[in-house]
Amino acid sequence: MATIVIRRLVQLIPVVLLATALVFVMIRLAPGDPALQQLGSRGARDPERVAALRAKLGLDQPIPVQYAIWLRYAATGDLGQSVKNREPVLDLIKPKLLATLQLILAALLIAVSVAFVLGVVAAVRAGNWIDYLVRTFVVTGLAIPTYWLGLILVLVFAVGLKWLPVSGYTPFFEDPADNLRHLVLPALSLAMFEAAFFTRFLRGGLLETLRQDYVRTAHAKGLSQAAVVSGHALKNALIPMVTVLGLELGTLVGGVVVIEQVFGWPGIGWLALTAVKNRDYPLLQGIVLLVAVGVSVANLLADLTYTLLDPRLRGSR
Amino acid sequence: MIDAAVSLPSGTLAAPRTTLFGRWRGWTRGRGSLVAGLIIVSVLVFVGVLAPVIAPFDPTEIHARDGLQAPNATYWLGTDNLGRDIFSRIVYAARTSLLVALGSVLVAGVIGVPLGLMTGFLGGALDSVIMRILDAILAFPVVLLAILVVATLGTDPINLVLTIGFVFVPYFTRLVRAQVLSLREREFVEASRASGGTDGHIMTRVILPNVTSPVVVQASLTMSLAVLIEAALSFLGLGVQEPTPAWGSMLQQSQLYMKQAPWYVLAPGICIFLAVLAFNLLGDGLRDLLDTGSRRR
Repeated sequence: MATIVIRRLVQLIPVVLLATALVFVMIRLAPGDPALQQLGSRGARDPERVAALRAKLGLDQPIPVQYAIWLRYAATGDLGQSVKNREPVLDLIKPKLLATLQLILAALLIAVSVAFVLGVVAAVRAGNWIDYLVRTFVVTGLAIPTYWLGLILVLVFAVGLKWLPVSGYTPFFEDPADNLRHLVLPALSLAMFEAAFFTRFLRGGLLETLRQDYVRTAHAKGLSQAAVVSGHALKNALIPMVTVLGLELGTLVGGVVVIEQVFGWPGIGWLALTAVKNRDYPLLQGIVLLVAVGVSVANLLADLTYTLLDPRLRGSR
Repeated sequence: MIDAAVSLPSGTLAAPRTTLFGRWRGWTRGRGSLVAGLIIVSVLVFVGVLAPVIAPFDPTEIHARDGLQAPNATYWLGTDNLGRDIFSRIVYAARTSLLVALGSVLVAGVIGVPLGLMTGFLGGALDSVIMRILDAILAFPVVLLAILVVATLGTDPINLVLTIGFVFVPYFTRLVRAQVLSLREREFVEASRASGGTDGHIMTRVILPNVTSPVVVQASLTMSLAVLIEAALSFLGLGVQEPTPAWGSMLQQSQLYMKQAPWYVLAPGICIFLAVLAFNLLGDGLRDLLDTGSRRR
């Protein structure tokens, strides 16, 4: 197991390096000079000031040199300063990261709970009307744009019924109740696609497991359907879900970018979009590094957990 | 009743239904997804192509006095804040969304399929390098990557197509590479090699025809994702720019007037939903029809 962990960690390094290099080059190729942006229209007219600031920001160096410098500092935890706010990038990211993590975790919790119930019920009642309803939910959930669902939920529960706030955010430790009231609609919107995806996955896995010989044997021994499903089939059907959960983190982060705009949720997606609009290179670079590392590590953890849970895989990898 | 049936000439009752409708019913049995997907896609394409005929107004025509009108006899789906007819804009936006999605999938396929063929067939350092680069691209959430690329290239429609296409290249490359890896040791490939076939010939004439089915299925499923990404980018203000109508940017505007014009939010969202649903159903149906071995559960 230790060998697998080390090997996978080593494989992760070039991926993260390449990902950050890719973004570094892309951002540098983007139109708009951050030095001009920082100086404003008046300062931008003075070529000497522009040149001085470009030198200070390291923008006068070739791109590979700029990347090497950035990487050297990033390795020590220094992601540079925001061009716009002139604050350390990490300080800007930290509170937003917490907000985003809360949203993602809430969405995952809702999605997994819904999928667990619907997936099991649909698999056990395969072919009847409940299964049909669940499959309709899956097809709908996979096609509905999260941001549109968000707007519809706002329309119904915030504008119409006035049960929940339209948008905004209160930090959890400031006012937990208000934080949760603001969390409900974005989390529900974000959870819909994942709930449908996990339901389809769990239903399919469980249906396949229920056809296995050992399940038939369990039935033959006189065990009830509930005991067979919960004691035998479900355990094996849930193992592949771990990998899918890890892989879906990337999709969730993608969804978060848009959902945070809909609900004015000040998270990483919201910050990334602000950084793009302001051409705030260091900030964007820092966000991308964290997202790439986060998604890669989540995939790695999911893979390792899967290996740990399924003894057949331990020797083969 | 029984007598009448018995008195019929032999073979009449057992004769197969050969009418066009009968054949259609026979073909569509068990292919609900494919048929539903085909019908919705056809309707969307029809609407997009015939937009100038279907739309009662020019989609960019401003009727300043008719801003935010509820659906009525003149404006079937109401008007936006500038008094533009929502129905006409929805119809023209179908054209925009489908063209951007189709273009993106073509870009992804044109780059991704040859890359997959080469990496899978030739292997070695080329395979390692390209696959690591694709792994790096896949480390980003699709929407975030699309935002980054579009920020680099700009929001021109061609750039939008290139951006979304670029984001989906790894999907095609990985799919084709996996297929090639399983095909390249097969007898018919060995036979072609033994009879003097060059690498290029084997890749394009022997292997490529055998990976077409999964690529077609992937293309349909990617179309649905491309529609979603285009709409998301337009929603964020990074996609199709005003005054060109796009479902995503219409949703963005509708959010601003949700209290005054709640109906505005419905139509663009339903269109995105239908387009995504249609390509998902089409992809699933094609997968079943072509039985590509990667059936969704």
